Amino acid sequence: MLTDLAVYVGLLLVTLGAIFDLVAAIGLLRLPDFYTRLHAGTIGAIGGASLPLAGAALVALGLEELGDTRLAIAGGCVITSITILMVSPVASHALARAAYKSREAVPEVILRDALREDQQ
Amino acid sequence: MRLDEVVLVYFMFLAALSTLATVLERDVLKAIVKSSLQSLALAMTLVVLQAPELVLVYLPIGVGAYTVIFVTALGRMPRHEARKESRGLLAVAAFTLALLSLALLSAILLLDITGGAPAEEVKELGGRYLSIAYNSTAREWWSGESRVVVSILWDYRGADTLFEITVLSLAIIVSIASFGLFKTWVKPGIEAELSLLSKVSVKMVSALTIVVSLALLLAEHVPGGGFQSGVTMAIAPAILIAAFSGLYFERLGFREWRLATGLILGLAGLMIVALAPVALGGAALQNQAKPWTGFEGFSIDLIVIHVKTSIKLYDILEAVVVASGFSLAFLLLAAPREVLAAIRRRVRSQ
Repeated sequence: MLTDLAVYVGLLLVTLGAIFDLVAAIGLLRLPDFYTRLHAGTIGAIGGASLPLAGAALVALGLEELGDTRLAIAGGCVITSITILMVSPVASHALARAAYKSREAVPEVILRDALREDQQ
Repeated sequence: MRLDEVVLVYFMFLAALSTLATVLERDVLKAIVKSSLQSLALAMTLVVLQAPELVLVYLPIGVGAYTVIFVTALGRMPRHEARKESRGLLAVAAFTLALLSLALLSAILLLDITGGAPAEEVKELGGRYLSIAYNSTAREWWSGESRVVVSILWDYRGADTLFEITVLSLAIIVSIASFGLFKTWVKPGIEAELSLLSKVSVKMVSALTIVVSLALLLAEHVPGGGFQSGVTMAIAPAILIAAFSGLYFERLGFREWRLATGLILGLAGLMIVALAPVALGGAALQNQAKPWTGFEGFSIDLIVIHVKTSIKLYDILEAVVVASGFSLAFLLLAAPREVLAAIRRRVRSQ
């Protein structure tokens, strides 16, 4: 019962991840400038990679016929998921910061530039 | 001793001698030539040991690519002879290496390397392979290749090799990018320091990397597990050096001589594990007990340490060697470009 629930919740998370990936792909194609596209890419990394990996861990835990191997698979999935969750936002932050500071990408869609206000 | 063993010992001796000659050579160009001779000799030992797929990798990289890269690099800089003060460590390393190689060689010469294994059983195994995988009348398991290792390379290792090369190329691209070799990307007058968020996350990821590498080392008992673990562990110093500096890594306690000592001790440990069965009446590199030798197999039972195979010991020592060796290489690569440029200017003006 509980194992069935784990499998179904896991499959739901994997499906959600696929939807996030689709949204991210559309965003990368349609959004106008570097920073908004970076936002879309991060959606793909967190919603489209970290979330389905957690789902895969649940699915593996639910498949009892795998024996002890399922624990190893689930452990690997959880570790990778947490690592992506931790690293991906920081990578986006570092990219955005570097692009802004080097003036390589000029923000086009912007309401208020707090960084420039700080510098002035 | 059989003829192939004599040839094997000859090439191993040549490899050890050319290693010693390479390390003690003062002229860089001659050292490169001697180093490629060493690669050639080791490739020949692999030929004798019937491992053609390793030769396929070893010859083009060890003899070809390394030599070309080194000679090209040398051609672009003024002849720069090694200074005297850095030779102490090298001499110690060379002496240890030569001593260990001589120990292994003398063990092979004095004691039988094969441990007197009955040759008929090996032939029977080969015959079984040929009757199944090289049987032209019943082709269900046909491999089209009479040499076992080559058929494995062609049938199974092709995709494996492709992915390995992909991963390696990716790692090279990432290293070049993170070590800032494309410095022209940064425009002058722009602050190039990382934010606090990035710094803290680099530290967290490096700690996580070490945990993962230890898990790889202790959970997997496969040949090559030690190498995987060591390479993974070496990622931690690589990202620390790339994000902060070589000085930062040194201040954590990882000084050059300590990493070099780790490298040498790990190599010595590997040699001891390889030769320990000889001292106990077995053959070199022997793992489990065999009916025709007196060695009873690896079995270490300390309070919490239970080791039943030599693979685990090889893995742990190999991880030490690979991790300290790569860390040392990253630390040496991390010398600031300004310092290197200053050295180059000074040498040119002389």
